[in-house]
Amino acid sequence: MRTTRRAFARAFTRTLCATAVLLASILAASCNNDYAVYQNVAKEQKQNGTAVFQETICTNAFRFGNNYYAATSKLYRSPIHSSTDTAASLISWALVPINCLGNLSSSYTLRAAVVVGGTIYTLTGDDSSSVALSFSTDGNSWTSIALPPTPRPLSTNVVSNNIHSSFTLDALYSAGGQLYAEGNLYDTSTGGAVGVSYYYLYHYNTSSGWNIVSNFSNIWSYPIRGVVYDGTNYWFASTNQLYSSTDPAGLVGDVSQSGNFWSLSSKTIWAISYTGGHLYVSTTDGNLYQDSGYPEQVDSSARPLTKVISVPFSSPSSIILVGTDTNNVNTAACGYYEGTFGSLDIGSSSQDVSSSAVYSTTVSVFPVENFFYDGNSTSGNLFVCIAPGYTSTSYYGLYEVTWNGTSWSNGWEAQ
Amino acid sequence: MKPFGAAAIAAALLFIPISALSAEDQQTLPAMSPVADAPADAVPSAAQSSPFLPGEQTIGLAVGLQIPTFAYFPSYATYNNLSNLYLGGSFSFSYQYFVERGLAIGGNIAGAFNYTIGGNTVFTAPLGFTTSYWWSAMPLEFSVLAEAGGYLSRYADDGMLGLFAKAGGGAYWRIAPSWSVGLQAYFWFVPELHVDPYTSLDALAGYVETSVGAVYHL
Repeated sequence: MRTTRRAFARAFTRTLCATAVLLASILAASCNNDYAVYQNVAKEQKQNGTAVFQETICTNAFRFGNNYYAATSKLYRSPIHSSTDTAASLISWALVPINCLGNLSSSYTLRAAVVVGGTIYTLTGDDSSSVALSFSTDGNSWTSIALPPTPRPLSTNVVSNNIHSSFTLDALYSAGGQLYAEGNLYDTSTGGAVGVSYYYLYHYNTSSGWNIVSNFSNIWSYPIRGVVYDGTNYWFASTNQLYSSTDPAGLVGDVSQSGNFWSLSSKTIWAISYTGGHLYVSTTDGNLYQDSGYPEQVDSSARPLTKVISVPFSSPSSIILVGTDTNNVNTAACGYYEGTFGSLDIGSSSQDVSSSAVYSTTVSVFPVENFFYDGNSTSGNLFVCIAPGYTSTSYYGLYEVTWNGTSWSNGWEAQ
Repeated sequence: MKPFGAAAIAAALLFIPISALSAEDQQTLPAMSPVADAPADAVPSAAQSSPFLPGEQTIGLAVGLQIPTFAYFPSYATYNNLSNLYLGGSFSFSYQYFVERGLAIGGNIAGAFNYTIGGNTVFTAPLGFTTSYWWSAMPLEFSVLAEAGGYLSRYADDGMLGLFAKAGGGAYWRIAPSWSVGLQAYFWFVPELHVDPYTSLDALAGYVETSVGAVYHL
C-alpha cells in the first residue's frame, strides 16, 4: 500500500511538472512586459451601441447641419453628440426616409451618400433597374435627379443598344464641392460567359448634368477608388493609376510614376485620402504613399490599407490614422495604424486615440471602411466606420471617440 | 465596498457546511463503529481516518467562483474595484503529503477566468507550493492553507508572468472512507510587476475563490 502511494505521488509530481512546463511554454512565449493587464482592465468600457449598427457595415459618416449621418444599407442620423454623452435624445439614430423612384420611402437599399456643399446626394437601389439618385438640402425633402447616360459599350460587337450590357452606378464621391459618380458598364459581349466590367467616372454639373470625365480612356478597365481635392488639384484614383487636374471635370495624365508616387504603377491602389495638408494613397499590399514622403510599408503582412485621416493630438499636434482591411490570407484582426507618417504603430501598441483595452474589443477586429472627424484642434468628435459583418452581436459598424483639446476620451464608444 | 462584500460572501460560504449541519442532519450521519465491524463503504471514525498522520496523502479537485475584489496601482496610489470584471470561474488540482500529524505540504495548479465588460477575458493560472493544517470533528474535516508560487495570465492577447500567493481554508464532509467533499474559500494575491522602464504599469490585484472541493485520501 505504501509502495502504491509513493508510485502515485511520483506520477502525480511528474504530471504536475509536465503540465506546468507545458502551460509555461505556451503562455510565457507571449509575456509582454510593456502591457498593463489591470490598468487596461480598469479602462475597459461596456459597448452600448444601437441595434441599427449592430453587425452592420458602415461605409461612411458625415455631418450635415446639426446632425451626424451614417451610411449603412440605410441612411441614419443623430443629433450632434460626443462619445461621452449618455442622453437618449442625443445618442439615438433615426432612419432617414429618401425619395427613391418617386416615393419618399424607408424601404430602400443605400449604395452611397455624400455631402457636397449644402446638399446631401444619395444613390439607392438594389440592382441596375432600381438605381436612383436623389438630393436634399435639409435632409427631409428629397428630389430625384437624372442618372448619367449609359455609355456606349466598348466592345465592337455591340453597336448601338444595350442587349449585351447593363449599366449601373457603383459609388458617389465628393471633392472640392464637386459631385462624382462611378459608372459600371457590365458587358457580356466580351470576356466570355463571365463578361467584363468597364468603369466610368462622371462629373456632375448643376447646369449641364452628368459628363464623363475627359481623357478617361486609360482608366475604364479599372474600378475607381476615389476623388479628392487638395485646394488646387483634383486627384482621381483607379485601382491602377493616379491622375490629377486643376479642372474638376478633366484628367491630366497619369502621375503614378512620378515624384513620390514613382513606384505606384506597380501597385494596386485601394484608397486615396487628402487630410492634414497631405495626399495619401493606400495600396492593397500594405504600402502608404504620401505626396511629400518616401513610401512606407506600413503593414508587414501586406494587408490592404484603406482610408487615412489626420486628427489632433497632444504631441505632436496631429497624427494620422490609417485603416486596414483583410487580404483573406492573413485573418488577423484589422483595425488601424496610428502615429506619424513613417512611424506608424498598430492601434493597440501606441494607444493614441483609444486605450488598448477598448481598441482591442472594438475597432481592432474588423476592416476599417472610413473615418470622419468633426472638429478642430481644441475639440471634436472622431468616427470610425468598420465592417463587422454578421459575426458577433458584440460589434457595431460605427464607433466614436472625443477630443477635448488635450486628450482623447478613454476609447471608442459604439454608436 | 466590493472587496468587503466579496470577503463576506466567501466567509459565509466557508461556514455554510458547519452552520447548515442541523441536528436532523447529524442524526442521519452513519454511526461510528470499530474498524473490524465497519463495512467497506462506511464513514470511518475519527480514530480510523482523521489523524492525518505522516505519510498520508490527498489529492484534491475543486471548481468554483472567482470573485474579483480589487486592484491597487502603486504608481498612482489608486484603487480600482475591478467592477469591469464579471464574476468568473475557477478550477484547481492539488496534491498534499502529510509530514507531521495534521501538517501537509504539497502543490497546487489552478486556473481562473473572468470575462470583462468589454468582451475580453482575464485568465490566471497559478502554480504553487502549499502548506496546510488539517483537523477533524468527524465527519467534518477542516483545513487552512497557504500557498506561494507563480502565475501565468493572459488578457487581450497579451501574457504576463508573476508571483502569486493564496491563503484560506475549507470545510469538508467525510462521505466515504476515501472521499471528502466540502466548500473552500481562498484569497488570491496576484501582483502584476513590471521591470524598468515599465514599473508604472505595476498593479496588485486580489480575488476571492469560493469553490466546491473533493478530496481523495490515498
